[in-house]
Amino acid sequence: MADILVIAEHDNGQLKQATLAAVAFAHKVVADGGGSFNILVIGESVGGTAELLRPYGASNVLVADHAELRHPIGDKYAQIIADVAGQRGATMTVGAASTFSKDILPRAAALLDAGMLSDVIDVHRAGDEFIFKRVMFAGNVIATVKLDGAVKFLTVRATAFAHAPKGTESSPVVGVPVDAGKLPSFIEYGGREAKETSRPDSTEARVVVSGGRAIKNAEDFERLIGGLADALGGAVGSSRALVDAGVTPNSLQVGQTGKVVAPDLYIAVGISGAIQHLAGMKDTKVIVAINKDLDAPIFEVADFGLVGDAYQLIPELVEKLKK
Amino acid sequence: MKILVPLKRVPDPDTRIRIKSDGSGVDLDGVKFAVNPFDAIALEEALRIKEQLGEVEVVVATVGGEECVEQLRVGLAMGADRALLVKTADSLDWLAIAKVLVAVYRRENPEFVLMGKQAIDDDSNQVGQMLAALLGIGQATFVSKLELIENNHKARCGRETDAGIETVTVKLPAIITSDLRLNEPRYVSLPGIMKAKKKPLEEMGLPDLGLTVASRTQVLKLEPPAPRKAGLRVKTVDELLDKLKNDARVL
Amino acid sequence: MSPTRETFGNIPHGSVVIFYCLTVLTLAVFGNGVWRRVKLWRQGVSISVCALLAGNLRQIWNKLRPGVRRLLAEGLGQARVRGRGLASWAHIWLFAGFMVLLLGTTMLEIDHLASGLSPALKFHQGVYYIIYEFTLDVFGLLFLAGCLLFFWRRLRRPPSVGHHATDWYVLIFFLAIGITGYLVEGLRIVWQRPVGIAAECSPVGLLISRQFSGLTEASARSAHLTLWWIHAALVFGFIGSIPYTRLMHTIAGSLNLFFVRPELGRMVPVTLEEVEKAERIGVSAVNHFTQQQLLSLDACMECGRCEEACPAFATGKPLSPKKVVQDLKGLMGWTLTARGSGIPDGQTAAIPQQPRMLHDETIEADTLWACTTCSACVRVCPVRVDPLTLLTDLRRNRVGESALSGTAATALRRMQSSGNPWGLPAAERADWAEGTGAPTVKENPSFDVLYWVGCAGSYDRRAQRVARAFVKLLKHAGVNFAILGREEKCTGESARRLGDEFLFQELAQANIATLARYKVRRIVTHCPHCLNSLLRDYPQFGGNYEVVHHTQFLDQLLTQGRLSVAGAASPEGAMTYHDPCYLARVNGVHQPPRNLLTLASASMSSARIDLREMPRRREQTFCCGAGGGRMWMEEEPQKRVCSVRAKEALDTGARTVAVGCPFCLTMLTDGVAAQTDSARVMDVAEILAERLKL
Repeated sequence: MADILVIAEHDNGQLKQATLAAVAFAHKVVADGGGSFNILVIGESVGGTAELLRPYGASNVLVADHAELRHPIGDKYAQIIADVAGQRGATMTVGAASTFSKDILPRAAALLDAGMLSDVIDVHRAGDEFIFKRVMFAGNVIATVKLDGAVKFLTVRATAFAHAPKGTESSPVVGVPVDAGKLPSFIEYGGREAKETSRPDSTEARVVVSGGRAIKNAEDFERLIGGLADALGGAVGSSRALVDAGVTPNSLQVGQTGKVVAPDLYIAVGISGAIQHLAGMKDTKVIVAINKDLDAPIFEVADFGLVGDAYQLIPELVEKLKK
Repeated sequence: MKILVPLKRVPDPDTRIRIKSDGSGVDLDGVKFAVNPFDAIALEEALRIKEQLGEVEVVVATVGGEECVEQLRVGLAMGADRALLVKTADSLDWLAIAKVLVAVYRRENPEFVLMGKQAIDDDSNQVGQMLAALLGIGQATFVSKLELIENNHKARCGRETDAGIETVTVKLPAIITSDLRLNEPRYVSLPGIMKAKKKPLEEMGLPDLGLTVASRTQVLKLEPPAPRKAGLRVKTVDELLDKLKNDARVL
Repeated sequence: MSPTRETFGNIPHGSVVIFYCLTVLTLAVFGNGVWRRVKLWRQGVSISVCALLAGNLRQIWNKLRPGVRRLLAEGLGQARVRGRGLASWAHIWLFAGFMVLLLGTTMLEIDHLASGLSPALKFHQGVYYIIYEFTLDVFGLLFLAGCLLFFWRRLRRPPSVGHHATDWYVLIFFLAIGITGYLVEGLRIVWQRPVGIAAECSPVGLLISRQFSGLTEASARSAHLTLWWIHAALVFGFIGSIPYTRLMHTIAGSLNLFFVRPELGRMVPVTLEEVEKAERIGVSAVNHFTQQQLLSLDACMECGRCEEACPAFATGKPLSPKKVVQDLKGLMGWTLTARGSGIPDGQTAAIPQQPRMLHDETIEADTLWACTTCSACVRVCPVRVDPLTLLTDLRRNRVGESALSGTAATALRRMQSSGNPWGLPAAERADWAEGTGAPTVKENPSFDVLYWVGCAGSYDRRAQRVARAFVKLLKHAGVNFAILGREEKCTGESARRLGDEFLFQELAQANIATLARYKVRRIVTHCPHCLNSLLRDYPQFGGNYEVVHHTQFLDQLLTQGRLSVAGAASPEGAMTYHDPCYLARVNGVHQPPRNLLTLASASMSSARIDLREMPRRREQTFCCGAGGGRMWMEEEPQKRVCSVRAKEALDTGARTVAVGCPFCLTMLTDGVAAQTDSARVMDVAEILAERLKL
């Protein structure tokens, strides 16, 4: 019987949807072999966030609310999680994989001398044990693993678990007492420089949409390439030609003298496919090429190639994705 | 000042990973090995601090078999002063490695630890944080900017998070893990590696550190993700979306 | 009386003695000055001059002959001074004039000494005298003309020409020497009063003497003596100042012409033992250069031809070959001041406390890495200074000391792990050949010639088309060839030029072993960098092959009639051909590709084929920017070498830019595409295959 603790992630109260993937994971485990789960929200004035998590079938929505917890500082949050998981006897503590959970959960795990698995994409029961699948080698290998120990910590890939549906029941919200004096203070929060966009960085994104010479100016780039990237929740990139033309900044350049990326999906729009560019994205899992020139070398490396005018095809693609 | 830089021996980043036909492991035939790129970045940062401050000892350490000496030599060639190999034939998982590093840490007593945020073979991103917890010290993870302040008693770090760059100041000693954007490591060639042979490299076993650790993770099977199909020309956007959703399963 | 004049005529005996004393003094000053410079050169690595003199006479002559040839053709013959318009003429005239005057003065002195022994030995008379005086008069004018041209040029101050205050001094001295020489001659004619041919054989002197015809003999003699002394003093001053001015190039330049290893595209190997012993690789201090390299620094005249030819300099990079040479020369001079002459460091205020570093302080990293190794600077230098080897020696040290990082380092790492600079799987190296019918050496062990494909041809999708086109042509001509397939590895050419000598040796030795296993003797390749490495680098490690470029090979096939061009389609629009540096300049191959483009060897009328030439062509070609590892380094958009060359190509009005190198193909495709949509860049083989409808 599993007793799962799901760690919710939020940004200043704004709930991160990926949390629902972690909840979906909990649902699956519980459905598989029984048990129950709690959700833990940590922060300051996060009552509203906790409310949002009530319809998902948790036994409780636990809230650790304190001024000291305003920012997701690794040492404090890890202590809270370790305390709550320890007190509640959670056998599995899980969060959706993100920089938040990766920073905090391993620390909490070690505080409880618990093992941990990162980037889990699947779980099922085999007798008494849980068998997990996780991603290795930048997504090139799927490993089937077991983790011994009564207490396990996990991060799960949000894309591997469809978001948990809302249920009819409403979980109670329970406050967790926070003894601020006992919290560690090794780390001091110094502010955050928000990214200009909410788009991920191309080196870490799962999807990258990249534009080449076919894109005529910065507005078109934002509209077409940016638009498609946003529809896919991905990052933008560009070939060197656009950097030269002043359409994109050098930080977006993908290639042998730019960034090296290895996403699951790379959409090359109006890019010819010269080796200098390919060298920067050769480890992509799936390459899609959209180009007017049916002779372009990119079609030789692409998994899927669509010949046509980007200016017509991309808006159509975006529209159909939004549906 | 002493900086400890744990590093890991991993297959070269450009290797096309092939899995053995029985799924029992990765086919290492003909595979070249390298220092984990994130660890090289961490080491590069430690070396830059050394170049700036002068009296800094940079110690590289790794856990594994004799073959890991190759990577330690690369670390020494880059500019580290000393190397440590904790020799074991066991395959240790992240908590176990962290426990070994605790013993190494206690032996060396560095001012802080700089290491890669994750290894490119298992991509776990755990060891640094676990080490910090076991030692009961602070941590700064995914650091892309590092500055020692207050007479080297604290480190002001820029951390690469999903939402942007977060600045934290952590008291030293602490565990600092490096992100890709921290720096570009220097390239090491044969003459450097030869010179490095003169630098001290110490080997020890787990018993020497007074440790017994065991891995709790067991790998049952390895398999590749859905196989890539040969290049296909699609005619319409609809066809493309269908292939991406249903064949390639990337959407 | 036979036409003649008295040597030292009108010069009192006492003056002659003083003259000879001053001669000795001047030579001592000159000698000391030269010795000071020689001491600087000697701090370098020895070049075993003694080894040159070992063996029997025939062996010694064989060793000395190339150097002597260069001294004659390039030193005396000024062969490398040509090619710069007015400046070349100025130097040739000045040099010719000076040498003839020098020869004349020497002959005069010999005659003086000989006639002192016995009057019968005097030869400075009669027909010889007439010819002598006339020749010297004419060449003296040439000398002055050269001086004046140089004066005028220096007044206009062309940007690439180095300039110091002493340069004016030198030119003024020359002018003064020339002018006073004629004045002395003129005044001599006034008091000697020769008649007929004896006077007319010195036309300039005669003309001048007429200006002084009013002088009495006494005043003429007096004036003659005065001017003779002025002239002598000027000459002594000039000789003594040679080692302290740019004129040192006369000595250092001549020595350099003799001692230099003149082949382009060549690098000196280093062994692991040497590195272990020296505890370093490459150059990190001035005395790590060879003595020949150090003396070459003094041979440099700052003429600026190298700077004008350099593609990095042309695009605003912080690299000027001239400045590199001069900066190293300055450092060389500084080291002697700081160390030698018994003055301990730091004890004199003028001597700086800290040693001046070579790397970063004297030569910056950005300067080092900007070089494309195109060898243009080496080709144009009149005294054969080699800035390129200076830079690659410095690069070797930087790489050895782990001072290289970034994208170029990534390319090196990939070459080592995957055998190609893009890190693509070695197992996929022969995938391009699928369906082409190109046999591997295993499938066709009795091949005649090996087609060395290279990394670009194997992995770059664009360059693979060139490889496929070439294979089509080979099959069409029925050539018995094979490829190495998966066993081929990067030649390591760019690793060597980037400075990673041992990575290069590792790759080379692996390739040489593979080539030996399949008993390869003849190689054809479409990549000039591979060609140069196989031809010049590999023999240093035991790999000796006959290597030709694919354009040479195809041209031969055309001439032999093995490629039938009957019915070949005529190309559309104008074409131009971009000569690759490593093919045209470094290896002297530039006609075969042109033959292929005009189908000249097939004795087809080339009337309809519009092949245009760029201003910088053949051995004077302008780099595409990819050599020396620059392919893997970033350039600012406004400073791209390929854009400069693309513009030059498009300015010819060509619609097709033909290339013979995969690097050039990549760079020029980028460069052209940024400027126009209506021109295409293609390899010569592709154009030929298209023409033959293959």
